[in-house]
Formats: sequence, C-alpha cells, structure tokens
Amino acid sequence: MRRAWLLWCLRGAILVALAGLAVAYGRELVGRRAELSAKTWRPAGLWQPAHLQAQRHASFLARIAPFVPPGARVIFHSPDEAGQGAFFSFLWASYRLPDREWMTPDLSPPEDPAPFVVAYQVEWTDLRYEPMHRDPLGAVYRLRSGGSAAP
Amino acid sequence: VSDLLGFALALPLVALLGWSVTAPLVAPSDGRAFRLALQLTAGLVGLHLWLLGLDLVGLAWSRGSIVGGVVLASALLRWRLGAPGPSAAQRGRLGWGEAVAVAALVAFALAAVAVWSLNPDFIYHWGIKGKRYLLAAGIDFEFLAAPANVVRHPDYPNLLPGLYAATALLAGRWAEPSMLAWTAVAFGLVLAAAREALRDRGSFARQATLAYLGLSGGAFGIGFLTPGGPDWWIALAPLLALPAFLEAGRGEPRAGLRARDAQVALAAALAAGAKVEGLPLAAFLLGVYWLVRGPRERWRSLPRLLLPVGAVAGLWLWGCFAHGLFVEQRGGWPTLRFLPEILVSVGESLRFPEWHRASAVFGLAPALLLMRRTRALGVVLTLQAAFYLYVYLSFPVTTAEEARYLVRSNAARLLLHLFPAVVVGAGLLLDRLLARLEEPPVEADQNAEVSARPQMLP
Repeated sequence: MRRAWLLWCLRGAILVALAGLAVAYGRELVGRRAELSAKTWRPAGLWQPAHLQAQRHASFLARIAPFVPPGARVIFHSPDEAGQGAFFSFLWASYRLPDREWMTPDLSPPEDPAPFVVAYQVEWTDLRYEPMHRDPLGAVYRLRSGGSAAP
Repeated sequence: VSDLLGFALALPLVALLGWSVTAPLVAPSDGRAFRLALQLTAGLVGLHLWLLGLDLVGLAWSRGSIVGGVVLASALLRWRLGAPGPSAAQRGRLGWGEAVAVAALVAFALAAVAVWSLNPDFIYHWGIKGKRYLLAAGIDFEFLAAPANVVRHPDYPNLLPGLYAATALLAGRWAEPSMLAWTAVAFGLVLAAAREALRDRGSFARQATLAYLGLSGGAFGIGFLTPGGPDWWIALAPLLALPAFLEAGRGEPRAGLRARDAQVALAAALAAGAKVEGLPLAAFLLGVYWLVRGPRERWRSLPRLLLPVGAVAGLWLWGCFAHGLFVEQRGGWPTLRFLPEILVSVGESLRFPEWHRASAVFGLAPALLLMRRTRALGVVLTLQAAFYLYVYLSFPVTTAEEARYLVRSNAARLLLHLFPAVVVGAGLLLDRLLARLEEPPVEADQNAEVSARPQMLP
C-alpha cells in the first residue's frame, strides 16, 4: 500500500514537472519572438537578423555596398556602445558582405593602409582619407591618391 | 520555403552517403530511429571527410565535385560493404512521451528555420566561415590566418562551416533557414538516440524521459539561442555511443560487437569534427569504451575505433599546422586562485532562466557512477566536466570578475553538451527505482523460501 502510494506520488510529481516544462517551452517560443522587436540594448538579441538595430545596420550595408568593390580591404569603424557595439557591428559587416576583407582600424598597417573605410554612426577623421559617399547612418571614405595626409 | 532548398538538397545526399555504410554500423537489435541517426551522422562525417579530401588534393568544392563524389563514393561503399541485415527490433507504437518529444522537435525546427533564435556564434564565426568557404570553393585558410580573424577561432574544426558551404553550394545561394535546419536535425537525432538507449526500459520511465528531454531541450535550445551552433552535435556524440556503453556495462557476451565499436568510433569522429571541445570528448569516449568493451578482439578493435577520428583529427591538425592557425592561447597549468568564483558561476549558469529548472537533473549525475550499467557513461561525462573545469582554471584571467565573466559567458552552453546524456542516465535510474516500487512486496520468510527454490520462479 505504501509502495503504491509512493509510486503514484513519484509519477504525479514527474507529470507535474513535465506540464511545467511544456508551459515554459511555450513561453520561450512566444517570448523569443517578442524579444526581436525590443528596442532595448541586448547583446544576444543584437545578433538576431530580425533585431531592429541589426536590420538598420543591414540596410546601411546594402546602401554602401556598391561603393566598396568586392575583394577590397576595408576598415569598419563604429562607435563603441555598451562596451561591445563596435565589435558587433564589425562582425555583422563581415557576415553581410563576406567578399570584402574587413578589418578594425587598429589592424590597418600604417605602411599599407586599407584603401577604404566604412564609418557607421560616427565620423572618420583620418585626413589621409576623403569621403566618397555619405549616408544618413554613416559614410564611405577612400584613401587619397598617394595615401598621404592632405595638406 | 525556397530558403530551405539547400537543406532539402543536402539532406538526401548526406542520407545516401550514410546509407552506404550502414552494414558495418548497425547491430541487429538497433531500432529504426537509431539506424537513421547513425546513417545521418555517418553521412555528415563522410561529407566532412570528402570536403577535406577535396581541399587536400586542391580540387574546388562545387556541385559536381560534391554530388558526383558523394554518389560515386556511396555506390562504391555499398558495393564493398553490402546491405545491412534486417532490424530485429520490433516496431513499437508512438507513446505519449515520444509524441510530446516529436511535438517539441517540430516547434524547435519551426523556430530554428524562422531564424527567431540564432546562435550568436553563427554570425561571429560559424556562418561567416561557411560564407567564406562558399566564396573560396574550399576552406579559406587565407581568411582564417588573417590577423583580423583571430577572434573567429581560426583553429576550430570545420565540419559545420563545411556543411553550411556545401548546403549553400547545392542551392546556389546562402540562406540562413537552410543552415539552421541542420540544428533541428541534430536535436532530432539526440531524441532518436535517447529513445534507443531507453528502448528496453519500462514504459513510464521511457516516455517521461523522452518528454523531459524534448521539452527541456527545446526550451533551452530556443531560449539560449542554440540554432546554427555546434552544441547539439557534440551533445549527440555520447548518446550515439550509449548503446555500446550500456551493453559493455551489462558485461554480457554480445552479438554485434563490431557494430558497437563502429558506433563509438563514429560518435568520436562526430565530436572531433564538430568543435574543439569535442576533441577531448572523442578521446574520453574511445578510451573509456576500449577499457570496458571486453577482451574479445581488444587489440584488433583499435584500428576500427581510431580510424574515423584519426582521419577527422588528422586532416584538421594538418590544416592548422600548415597555415599557422594555432594562435589562440589555450592550456597551461591550472591555478586554484579563482576556483570559488568559478564554482559559484557554474552554479549560477545552472540556474539561468532558460533552463526552466530542468538543469536540476545534473544533481543525479553522480548517481550514474554508482550503477554498473551507467558507470562507463558516468566516467565519460565526469572526465568531460573535469576538462571544462581545467579550461576555466588554466584560462589566463587576472581578476575574479574576469573569471566570473568567463564562466557565465559559456558554462550553460558547455553543460548542454552533457545534458541529454545526463537526462537519459537519470531515466535509467528512474526506471530502476520504479521497477523496485512496482515489485510486489514479499515477506521475509517468503523471501528465504524463494531464494532457496530459484527453479520455481518463472
């Protein structure tokens, strides 16, 4: 009698736990979808293609792509938000336009600077470069002929 | 739907390659779902080796070289290895827990291909590597060796990026849903392999375990953003080896021993190709299995066990050394300086909301070492957990906050590698507990009588 009671208690507890997991799964599915449209800064959410900031970034890249030839070495420069913004933007750029050789500003060798710079939500102030296309969200710059600073 | 074209073309190709090596891979008692899991995994590992081989001899990845090569290799392998014997396993009806697990898998697959829940590392490195390999028609070692790409783990194995590039090549374009559908396949194979390990268990334990794994795995898989990453593939490896481990733990003479050897070898090769954490897992699977598999053909089994993982790891090592890809600092002497912070952070990772308390099952993990049948599995999981602890203790962090950040940023993902095997192990423990509770109570003197007259028992 006692064993049977224990058996039913154990089975009941497991079924209750399973029901709880089923509810949690449903919430996870609904919540994950809702999170994509959230405008708050969430690093993990920022990696989602449907995230608002990722979409804005993608639309910017689509607009500037014709000005940066495939195969070119390109510096990607963006502001550092919440400690990781520049990193995220740089990696998104190389994912969206994989046929360009993207690099962060510190990796462009001074003796052989990258011929193009894409600046996202920030100005690029290196006088060796001149703007070639301006966009509401940034700009594309190219190395001046000779690659030296303008007088 | 057109975004799934690459997956729809690549899946049959992988299945064909796996089908061709079924004969030495399946034991007569293996169920149909487990056979499919073995075939698809063998197809994936085979495709990975084929792509690495093309790279090695300087042939470009293309539709022709992939489809032609796979079809030809499949025909040759099938002719050489022959057809497998029929499955002796009875075709069972779908139980309530299996139905729940299938529903959870379908929801997971829909969420994955809808790109609601992308693994951050897909953008960070798995996806971009796949895109670059697609453009380069092979492994783009120049890209991997570039200084800007040190952050992208250039020395990781290439099973996943190669699979993504091949999937895109077949369709003629890159589409995220096709890539993420592979994670749903991995989750499905985890469930199929778990079902096999529980096949001869009592009905309630089997159904409850599969429902638990389906619901908790799906919820964590979506919530913790796993689609597109390699973690479900690593989690699959111990489950593919589980029937072999359970039979070895039973200590009985076995039919199909060579097939069990091949299954463990395949599991190790999958782990080694999926990600760098899979390499020690492959070594633990092979080492522990070899020790417990029994004396029959012990030495002669070594080539069988080591060949697949040797091919995968050998070609990976060649690529890394030839192109100078070992640039990340790893290993070194462990220090106990931040051990308290690391253990506290592991505890926090077990309480992440995405687990929905399902990680409580890790509390039963030590019990796997106590039961004879699950002891070998328990040893493998303990060794892998110890390896992860070693990585944390030897990582070059300088402050307690850095140590906490290190653990919090990846411990839950690493625990996922062990989670399905721990759930199945817990299911086996539950089955034993339920069987004891279900036994009719016998009085002490009746017990003595029964043990004195065993021939009277049915």
